[in-house]
Amino acid sequence: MTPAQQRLQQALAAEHAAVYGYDVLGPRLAGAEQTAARNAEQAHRDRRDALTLALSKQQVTPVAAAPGYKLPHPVTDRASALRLAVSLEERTAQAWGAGLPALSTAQRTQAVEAISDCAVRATRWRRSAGITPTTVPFPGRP
Amino acid sequence: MVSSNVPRRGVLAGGVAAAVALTAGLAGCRDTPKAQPPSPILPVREDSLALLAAYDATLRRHPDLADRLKPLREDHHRHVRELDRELGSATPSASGSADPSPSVTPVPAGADAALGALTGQEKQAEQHARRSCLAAPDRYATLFGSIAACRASHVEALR
Repeated sequence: MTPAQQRLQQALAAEHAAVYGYDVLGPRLAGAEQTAARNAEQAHRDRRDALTLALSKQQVTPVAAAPGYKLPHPVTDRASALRLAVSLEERTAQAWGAGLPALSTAQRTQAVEAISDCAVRATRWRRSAGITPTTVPFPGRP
Repeated sequence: MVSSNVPRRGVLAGGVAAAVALTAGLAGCRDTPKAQPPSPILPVREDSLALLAAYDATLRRHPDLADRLKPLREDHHRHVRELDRELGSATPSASGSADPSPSVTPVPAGADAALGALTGQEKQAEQHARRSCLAAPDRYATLFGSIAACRASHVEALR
């Protein structure tokens, strides 16, 4: 595997984890927040599928989803669900951000879009959760 | 005879050309010690400085927006500091504070219009940073991509 392919695999693993996380937290939300969680999950599924396809085309076996993921904290209510949503977006952005240097221009386009989308969603979730500030200076950097 | 002359002339001509090139190279070297292409950091930094100046001007005109705007202003300040750190000390201004130079367009009188103006500037700067990221040397790719994403998140925060 090339360094770029390894980085795409790491981004794919993060997207799998995000889909799993939203599956867990979605039911703890209601109304518009639940809809937002569903849309976010779909966005991560879309990136997951695009990565899976891209890696397969390069004759690389895409990393599979784990049966389960260790969550940073238990999700028991709305507040912990919102915190997890923020954390999922931050981690996914970091996986894409770490890959940027190794990626080709076309792949970078995809990665920067992914990081921006994660950063925007993280900002929305922070606002819902009442976390201030709602932005961070360097999304996608550890 | 002819065939032996041609290469000689060729060699001589080449020698002259090489000498000219060498002189030009030396002259270029002496006259402009910073003849390397400008750092790819500079355009990103320029946008960050312009955004800083725009937030400062908006805060002066609309102090009541401070709670919303100050954290965003702080992000831009962090960007400038980080970009300056990457540039090292050989920079036009490594102070990390806003240069007085960026020309700030007048801030609209209404708060909504003022926020709209900042949103437009953030969007434009985000596009610039994205392009910088795509063209960036590997070592700056993550930083530029991150700054682009931060500017995108500001558009959301200004809603």
